[in-house]
Amino acid sequence: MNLSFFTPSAAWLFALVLPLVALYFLKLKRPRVTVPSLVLWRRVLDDQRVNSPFQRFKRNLLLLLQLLLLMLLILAAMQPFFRGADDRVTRMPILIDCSASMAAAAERGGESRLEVAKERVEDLIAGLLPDQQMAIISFSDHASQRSGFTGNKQLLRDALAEIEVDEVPSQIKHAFRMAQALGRGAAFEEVVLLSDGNVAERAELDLPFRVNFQKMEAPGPNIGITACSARRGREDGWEIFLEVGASKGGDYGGAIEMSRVDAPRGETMASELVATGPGQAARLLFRVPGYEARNLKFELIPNTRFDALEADNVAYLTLPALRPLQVHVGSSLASFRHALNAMEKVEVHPRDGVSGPGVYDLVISDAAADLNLGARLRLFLSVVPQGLQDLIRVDTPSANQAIDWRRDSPFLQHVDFSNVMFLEEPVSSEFDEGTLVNRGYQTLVHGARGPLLLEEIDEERVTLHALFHVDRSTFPYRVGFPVFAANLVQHARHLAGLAEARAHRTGILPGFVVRPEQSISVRGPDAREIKLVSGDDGRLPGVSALKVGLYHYEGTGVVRGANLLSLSETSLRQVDAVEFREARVTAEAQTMETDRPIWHWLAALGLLVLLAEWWVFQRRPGGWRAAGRGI
Amino acid sequence: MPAQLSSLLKNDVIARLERLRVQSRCHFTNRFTGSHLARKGGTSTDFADFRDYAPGDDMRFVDWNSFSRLHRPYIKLFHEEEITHFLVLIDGSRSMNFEGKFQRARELAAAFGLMALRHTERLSIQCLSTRAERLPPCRGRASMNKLFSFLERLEEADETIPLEAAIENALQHHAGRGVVILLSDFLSFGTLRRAFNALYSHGLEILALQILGPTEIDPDITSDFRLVDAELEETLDVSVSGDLLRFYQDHRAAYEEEMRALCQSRSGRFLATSTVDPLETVLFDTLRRQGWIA
Repeated sequence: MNLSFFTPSAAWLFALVLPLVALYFLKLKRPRVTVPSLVLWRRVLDDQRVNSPFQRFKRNLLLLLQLLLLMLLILAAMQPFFRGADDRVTRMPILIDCSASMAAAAERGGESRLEVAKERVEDLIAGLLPDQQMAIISFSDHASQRSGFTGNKQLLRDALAEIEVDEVPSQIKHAFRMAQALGRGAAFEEVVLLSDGNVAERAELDLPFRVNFQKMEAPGPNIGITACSARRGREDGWEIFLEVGASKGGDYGGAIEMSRVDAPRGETMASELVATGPGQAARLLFRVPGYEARNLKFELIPNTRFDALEADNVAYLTLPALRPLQVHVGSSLASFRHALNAMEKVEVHPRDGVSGPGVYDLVISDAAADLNLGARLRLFLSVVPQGLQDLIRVDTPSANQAIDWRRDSPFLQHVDFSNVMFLEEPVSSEFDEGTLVNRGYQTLVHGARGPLLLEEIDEERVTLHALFHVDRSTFPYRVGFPVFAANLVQHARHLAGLAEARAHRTGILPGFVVRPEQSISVRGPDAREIKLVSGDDGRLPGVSALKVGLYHYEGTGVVRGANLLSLSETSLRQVDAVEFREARVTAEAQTMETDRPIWHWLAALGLLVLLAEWWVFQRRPGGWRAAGRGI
Repeated sequence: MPAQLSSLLKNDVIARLERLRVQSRCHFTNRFTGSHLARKGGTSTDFADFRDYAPGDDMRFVDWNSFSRLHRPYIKLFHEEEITHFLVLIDGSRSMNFEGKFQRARELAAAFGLMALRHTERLSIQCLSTRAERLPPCRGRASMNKLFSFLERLEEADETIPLEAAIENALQHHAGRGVVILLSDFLSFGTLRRAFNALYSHGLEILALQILGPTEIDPDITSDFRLVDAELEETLDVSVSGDLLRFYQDHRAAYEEEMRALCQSRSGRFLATSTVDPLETVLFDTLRRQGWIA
């Protein structure tokens, strides 16, 4: 480290040495002390030992202390610092990873890596010189600018103290995009990235600045739940799949306990032992009956002495009660009714002239009036959507065939339209896929002159528009028809949550529909409350869930669990370099050397010298004062 | 409670002092008969030695017992008891005005004087100051009140003359051999060699008692000071450090040794005391241990 001075111009203050010395010898108004005789004192002062250079030095100790004090103060005024790097930067953005893996510690009771990173930033803040500024950005699955460029150390420390671990996977690109945005207002040359290296190896970004990648040390061993989902079993029940992953560096095992979230502690529904090797994963299967809705909690109890990460040791899963699929099929659609009636756990309405429950999971109709029926999946036959009536008309040629169809669509899997004859032919005047997409539709089956089957793109529901009538085609007589009907049922079950269930990940918990403009407060695991108001359509916005745990939607009875469920975070893997488009950023082998100002140490030393001088020289002599003479 | 005989000495101290006397080594005596054994032969009852009989000797001093055994006449010799003159010199310079040194000198002078009078020695006291107060030679217990009243009247000096000059002045008013008890701090720039020579040549055994104050023995000062000499009003700038105080102690010890050598080379004795020490300790412990009084 080289010693430099931030304000070397203050060196002219050394000229104060001259008046100090002059004043010392001119002033030196010594206290007068009358003594009986100077006989002995004269002998003492005539002693050669007293007149030795060292004793002379000691006799002028006061002057030397004052000179030392002045020197220290002038040096402090020159603001010396040890130069950390050869090229100093005046603006220093700090990107701090606060994703879930940064909560990992190296040993039991040790500091988390976020705490280590914050200590390093503390050092950087302490080393800030008056011409340097720092900005702090934290990132997890999103980036937050904690402070703009400032040299105010207290502001920076406050901003740093606010950073907590977000129990979500990291997305490094957001951090660099925010840094890029920051750079538009104030240019800088280098960005300091403090991360554990548990980030993506590639980021599709162009970097207009250098990156100083400071990687935290490797944490201790970890085991955690990395996946949690359920699917409908063959019998009336749920099959729950759990995946338990482990980091490298040790042997792992533990027990998974399944319980209701509202069950007393220790009351478990099932327990399974799990063992996995370093860097590997093990899968577990639980079965629960589906006759009632359940909120389940899965807790991993590691049998290792130390588990680096706590957040991945628990998972929450909400399972709805299993029920038959409610399907409304128009009375005239005999082919669909026939196909659906043959399926298990499907109730087709209306049945025997009795109308259905009014709320359906699947609506299949050829009547425009049924467009108002609410269902997550709807199929309308021979009805041109309102928004496309100016584009598409339906002619009745002698015969028409499908030209192509999207085989990757979940509705058309294993469905073959190659030999199907249609007696209706949709004709589009300006048949352009882009136009349809702009209006919110995508074509699933293409006819010769227009789309035969359209999917209306909507967040809330899926609506298929068949611009032909199945009864006026050979489709019901093909093998693909019952497959198509089964695909519809399967998709409807999926949308209704009757086919599978997945545990929610941390980040954003999706909204759901309540009463319009209903005010709801959500209480999270960190006891913070979030106020939500549903929109005109009754849909609640998503909830930011950055902590693993249960989120209670007050007044609705809904409880949702947010889970980490990230193999990358649980594995605590570390990358040594991040590939950007035109650059490769490698983690630095050494901790970043920062400028270290030492002026405050000099000032403190000066204070000590001042106190020492006061103590030694300003103390009155006890003996002679007591004698009542002199002074 | 009985009245105090003197403000200088308590009654019990006086009572104890009456049983003690100053131990002289040189036996400088005068021709007057007294209680001190003289070196020359005399007529006291204290046996000294034998010698051969010579014609003309007083037959009364022949030891007839020895003659009967040895058939040769021997003469018995006896000590002569003569009077000793005690001269007490009190330093009355301004340097004695510190930390009760003058008071301690007066107390010691009273003690020595009392012992001398109690043993019927001749006693005279002189204060070594510009006023040169002196107690003329006196003798016997009857002079005790005179001694006390003289010492009680002595006052601290306003002016100062050098100690060596004051001693020589005092000798001009003194006659008689004996013991000189010098009560002073001996803090003088001049040399005392000549004054001590004069004392010795006057037939006075020198008993020099140095009286110092506690801050002279162990100065408790720090920082920078301007020291002012109380007698000469000269100044000296001192920056005191730990080593300087150590050197001071070295020089004080050396000065004591110098004074001791000066006295011993003239068959005298030297002792340094502090005003902090109680008078009883100095008299009945220190001086007795040193063999000054018994």
